[in-house]
Amino acid sequence: MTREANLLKKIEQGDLTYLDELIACYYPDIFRYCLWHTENRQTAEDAAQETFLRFVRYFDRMAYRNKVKAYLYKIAANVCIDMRTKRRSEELPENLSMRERGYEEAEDEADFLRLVRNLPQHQQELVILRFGQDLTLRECAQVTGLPLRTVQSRLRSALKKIERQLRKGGKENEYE
Amino acid sequence: MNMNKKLKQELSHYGRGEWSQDSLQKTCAAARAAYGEQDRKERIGFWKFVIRQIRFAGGSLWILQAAVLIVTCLTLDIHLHAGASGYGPLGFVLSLASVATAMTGIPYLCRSVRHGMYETETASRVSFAGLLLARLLITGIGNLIMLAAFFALASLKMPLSINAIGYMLLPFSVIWLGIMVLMRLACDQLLPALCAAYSIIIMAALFALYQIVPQVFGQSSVLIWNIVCIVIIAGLAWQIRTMAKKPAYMDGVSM
Repeated sequence: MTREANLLKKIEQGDLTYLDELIACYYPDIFRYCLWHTENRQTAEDAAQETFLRFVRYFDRMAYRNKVKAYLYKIAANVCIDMRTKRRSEELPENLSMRERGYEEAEDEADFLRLVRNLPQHQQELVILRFGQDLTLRECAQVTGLPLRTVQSRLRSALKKIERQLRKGGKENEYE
Repeated sequence: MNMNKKLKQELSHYGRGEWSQDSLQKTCAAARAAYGEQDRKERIGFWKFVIRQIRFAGGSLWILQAAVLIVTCLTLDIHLHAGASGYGPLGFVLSLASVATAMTGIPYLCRSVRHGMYETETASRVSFAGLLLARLLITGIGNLIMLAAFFALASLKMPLSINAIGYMLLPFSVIWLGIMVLMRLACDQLLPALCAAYSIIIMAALFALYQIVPQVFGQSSVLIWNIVCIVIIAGLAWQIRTMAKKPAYMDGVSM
């Protein structure tokens, strides 16, 4: 039995110490993933918390027993989408400039972050999962619900796009 | 440096170390509280679930099937006494009886849709595939007994080859295939009515076929009935497999 399966079994038996252990194990990665999709640290913390709350609520579902990591990322993705939708519907016109804050921050941080942010949403998500969160291709496919081959081709296409953009920016020598 | 490695190196630093121990503690506390609020249910095995389903609703289904069996047997007996003999008339009445048999399962299979009960049932820690399989099993047992009784009664009146079972199995599987398709696609309270209407249409089609081309029910056509029957049963199996994944009316259920 894997460590993960063992943890789940203990939680099922009602030992909540193991629930803490499971959360502590995945919290940093889920928080980082939420940070990619939210404006700031506070919202990312809220999103990460909501992710684990949903995980607990749907804990009884057997379908994801052997792929907790992918399941958590899937929940996190849904939480971030929900938060974005809610924020858009609540946002007043004068606050619209706030939406770009996260992007501006990313621009200051690194060219790579800016380039990833500029990718189409479906490619951006896969690049974040694969390179930002270090998920395997199979896990990326589980999270996004896409076939493995689609994940591979989209990633390839995203990488080509980033490479092209870097070359345009005169950085081609760095990778040769 | 390789593009993939460089990208991984750059992106993996993003947000690292920004989370606070305090927020992790808060999350753990909130998750513990949420776990405590959950109404933990006992996990039950498939056969235990089938027995519970029999006690819950299977009994009434079997009573209905027994009533239909008695009424149909009496009708069949009267019809056979009235001079219906030979493969043609027998094949026709057997096919009608099999449609009536298949129709008995409609109220039971559609009961969740009728009462909007899927939320409750999927919360019972049994997968939808398990729920569907249990229902098909309970309905199927009653139906098989009914079909066997009809065939035995018809055999008493006239010696029938085992191939004549195709007269019953073909309309029966056509009805079930239609019910499965409707259950997979339909998503409203009209589902039981749609299934019943479909069965009545098949019954009317059989009647029309008997009136227009009675040779279809003749002994020479038995082989064709059986071949078509195998194809339909294969389609039915595929349909059940597809439906077990998730039917349309489950879309509203939070997963």
